[in-house]
Amino acid sequence: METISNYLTKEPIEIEKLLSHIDLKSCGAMVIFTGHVRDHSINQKGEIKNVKALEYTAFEPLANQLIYEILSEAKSNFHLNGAYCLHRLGFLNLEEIAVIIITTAKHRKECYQANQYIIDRIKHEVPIWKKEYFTDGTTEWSEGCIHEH
Amino acid sequence: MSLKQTTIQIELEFFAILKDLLSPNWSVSFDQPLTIKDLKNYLIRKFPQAEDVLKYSRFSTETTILNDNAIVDKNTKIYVLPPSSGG
Repeated sequence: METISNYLTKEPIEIEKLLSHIDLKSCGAMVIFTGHVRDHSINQKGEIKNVKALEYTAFEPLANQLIYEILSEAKSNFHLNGAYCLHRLGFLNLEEIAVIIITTAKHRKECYQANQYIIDRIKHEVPIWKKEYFTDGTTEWSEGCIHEH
Repeated sequence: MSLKQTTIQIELEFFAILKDLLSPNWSVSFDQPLTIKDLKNYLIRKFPQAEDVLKYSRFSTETTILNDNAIVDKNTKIYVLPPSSGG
């Protein structure tokens, strides 16, 4: 029985280390997406605020379960050879990698499509939350994705 | 013959902004089964300061999102998840 991996880490994400575990023998394409901490954010009032750092928290059991399901569905729907994800938790400084999505397939079309499908679903569905730390000393929880019921 | 009234004890755990607005945990008892929608409406009445977040929050077990019609009819722990902002 396939076990659910841990898709969350408190350690800095090292791309080369992840790539060393991926088998590319029957793949014609690989797409790597990395989401980074940027230096500005637009709040609900439309104000641009300067970001100093981010903090990510998660409800880890469910987050791992849902990421596993999203990757499995992506592999099936887009006929991928592989789909990988690692999301960082804890405090992140500017430019650090918050999340990495890697898709591999025979051809690039499904790689690109699946990669976007995965990150869109992770952002929308997985119980991970971002708190923004601004240079003016204030903090704010990011608004998040509204779920239709 | 007297009917035994069953009390349903729900342990709630809040995350992210809800944890800041309310508390990490909350316990509540009900004297009859209720739906997740009933529970959400109860929490909105109880904590009006968190209404804007609660109305868009999801409720779950450790491994499953619960829809509005899911029925809680026994002692259980439920996790209250504000809108996601990962990625």
